[in-house]
Amino acid sequence: MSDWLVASDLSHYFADRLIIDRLSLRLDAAEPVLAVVGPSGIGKSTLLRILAGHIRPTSGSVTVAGEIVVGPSPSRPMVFQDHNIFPWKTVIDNVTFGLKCQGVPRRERYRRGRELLAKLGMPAASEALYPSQLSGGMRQRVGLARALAVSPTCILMDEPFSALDGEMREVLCEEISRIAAEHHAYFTIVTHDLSDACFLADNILVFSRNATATVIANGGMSHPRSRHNRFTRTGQDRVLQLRRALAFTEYKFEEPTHAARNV
Amino acid sequence: MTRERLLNVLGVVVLVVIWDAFVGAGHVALPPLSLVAHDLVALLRSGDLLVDGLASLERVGAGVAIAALVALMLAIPAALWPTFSYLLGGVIELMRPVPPLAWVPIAILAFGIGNKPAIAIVALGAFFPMWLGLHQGFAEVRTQHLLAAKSFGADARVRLFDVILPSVLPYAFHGFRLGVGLGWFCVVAAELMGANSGLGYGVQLNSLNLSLGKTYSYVVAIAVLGAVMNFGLQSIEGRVFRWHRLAIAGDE
Repeated sequence: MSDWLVASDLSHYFADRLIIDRLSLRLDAAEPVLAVVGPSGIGKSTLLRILAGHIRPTSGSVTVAGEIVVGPSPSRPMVFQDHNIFPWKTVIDNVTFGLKCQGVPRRERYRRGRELLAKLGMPAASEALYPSQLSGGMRQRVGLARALAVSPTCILMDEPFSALDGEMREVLCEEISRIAAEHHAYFTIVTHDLSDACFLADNILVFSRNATATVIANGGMSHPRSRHNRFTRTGQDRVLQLRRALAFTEYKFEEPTHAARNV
Repeated sequence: MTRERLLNVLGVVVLVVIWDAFVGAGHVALPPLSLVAHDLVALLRSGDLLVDGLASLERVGAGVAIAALVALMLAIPAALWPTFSYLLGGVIELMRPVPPLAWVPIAILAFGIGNKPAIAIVALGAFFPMWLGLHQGFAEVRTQHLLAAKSFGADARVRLFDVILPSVLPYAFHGFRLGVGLGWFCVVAAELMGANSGLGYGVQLNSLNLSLGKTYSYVVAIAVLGAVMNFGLQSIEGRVFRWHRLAIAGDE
């Protein structure tokens, strides 16, 4: 299998502050989900923007699915935590926005948009609604559907879980896992919650205060994406195990919230 | 008719009843409603009210158009260059508290009697809410929306029509509606002082002739036309920018 993400000696300064220090990594295509964790303001979102091509790294290069990142591309859409979908467009117009940019005729893009909404479990009547009429979870799904509509190779998500309650986080985690498998899409997900990273990602990239980032392979866990696991003692042990493994990064992880309460 | 609209109508009915009660008590400044109605019909039949109404509307149209153009010409560079925005901001904040009517004598000095001073006052009055609306609108264009559009490959045209304009327009239109309201307010006041036609001129002329019924007829015409314009623009705002109303309600 080839590598879907290759970063070579990637460094980035922001206002004379070193954010990313010579990051090099290779991720196998068989491990399609990467979670990026670390304290606030450490450079997680900066890395995501570099991958999206919104900003150029100070030095080094990144290749996503064989394509060297030199600028924004519909093959790497970003899904933001908030202000993500356009509040002035209806659900269907949001979902089909990328297709509109590609010049797909209205009838065809609506057909594909409706298909995607149905796949993501959105009721048919929701297509005429505005985002403000949807719940936080539904809005995230619309954001995901919009990203999926353009058949991306890699979806970049910035804190996709932070606005969601425990139940919706589980649903979104499952959807991401399913999409990664069915659509053969890669995911890079920035999150501050280690338990989300633990149960979703194949690899976890941990940012530390000294601008270094370490990749932790998460694949050794038994059924790491199983919903059942998160709510069991075994699942919680996994999170603790990962915490211990990451102790050297000096990152103070937040206490598991929904997961711990449900054990 | 919605409950709100019924209450609106009920308020007007209450006002009419109070008016009638004051007339019954012999208040000198209030003519009987029957006299106002009679004079209103007479003014409509003679065409005087129509001519004066059109003259006022023409001035409001011209003044509002000038205000909108100037506000747009200033708001676009202010949105693009913060230095220009700060330079302009000081001047605007200094000018904004001055009531437009304070400029009427200066406008008459500068432009004489007629259309021009009234149009200038309307433009001045309408400018500030329009500027504020546009300024706020451009501030509402979110970087994340532009980045999202860019990442989907949106070209400059799509970014303008699908991201920038939808962000700006609800605020700009709100400012426009308030500007039209203020413009209407200003035109009547400007005509009271320096015009030889228009609804404000009609009020002034008939009050000097002690023709109270006709004076009130003009006042009623000013009120009705102003309310119709505001109602029309409000319903356009409600329909076209329904998403914005919903988003604000959602935030609350």
